[in-house]
Amino acid sequence: MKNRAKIEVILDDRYAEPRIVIYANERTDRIDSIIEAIEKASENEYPRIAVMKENDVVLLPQREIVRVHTEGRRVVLETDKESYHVSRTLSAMEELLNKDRFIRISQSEIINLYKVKRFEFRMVGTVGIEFENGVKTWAARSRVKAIKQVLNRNIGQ
Amino acid sequence: MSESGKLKKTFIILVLAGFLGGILIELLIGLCMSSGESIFDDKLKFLINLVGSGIYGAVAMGGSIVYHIEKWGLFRVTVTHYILTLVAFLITNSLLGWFSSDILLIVIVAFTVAYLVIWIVEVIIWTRRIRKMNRNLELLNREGKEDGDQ
Repeated sequence: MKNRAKIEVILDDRYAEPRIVIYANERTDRIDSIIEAIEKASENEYPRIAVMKENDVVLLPQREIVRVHTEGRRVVLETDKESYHVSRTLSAMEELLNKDRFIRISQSEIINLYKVKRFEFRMVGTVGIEFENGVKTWAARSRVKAIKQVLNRNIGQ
Repeated sequence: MSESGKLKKTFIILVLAGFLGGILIELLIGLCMSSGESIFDDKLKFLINLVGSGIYGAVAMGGSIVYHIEKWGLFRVTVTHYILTLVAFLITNSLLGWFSSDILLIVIVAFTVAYLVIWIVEVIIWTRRIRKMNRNLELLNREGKEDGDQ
């Protein structure tokens, strides 16, 4: 077929996880569709998260989650724009979420590393985290080593 | 084990380690400073010194539990531990007479400077650490955007 994208599979022992690279001369809707399809297919390993919105259950892809945290006894999941309640414990959420993307930063919070804009060391000596949507939080100093490890693993260091 | 359970366990271990450490240091100092006469001659004084040092060690080490409180920043934990150990030191010193009043001020200044240095070094280490993490975060975001991950 004329418009079909050319697909090449290279088997290499160095890649335990599949790595997909798309070559094109410009970013088009077609490219975005291909990316979306790949993401959907690769997401199967990490299930969507069922959250409550009013009386409906919504299934959220993990990549849309910014953070999951406790508010009193409730577990709240936040995306860029909305907050939802989750009927699981924070530890259960930690088990469910992709460990290359999500990291526990304190007793009461898990964050999506890919949604972090920057880290900061505040003068009072706490480690601040700012997300791309402008929300700010803090990480326990004792968890920073683990955050660094996940960060390094993701960039191949 | 819950987080508060872990904290309690750590606190007990720290207190015990501090008590034993205090006793050991007191023994070592006693042995080093004894000139000819045995430190065991005045048994009551020796025992009081030993227990006093043990208690001071327990307060100093047990007090370091504040470093395990997640919500507290470095400034707050350093100042809290400084006040705790300074007050414990002053009380122990007045009871055991470690330092005479003419050099006590020098000891307190040295004590304060030590904490100040620790605080400054910690701030430098953390600032560098966070700067490096931000550089790696930039790499991650660049890679993520290239991969359509965002």
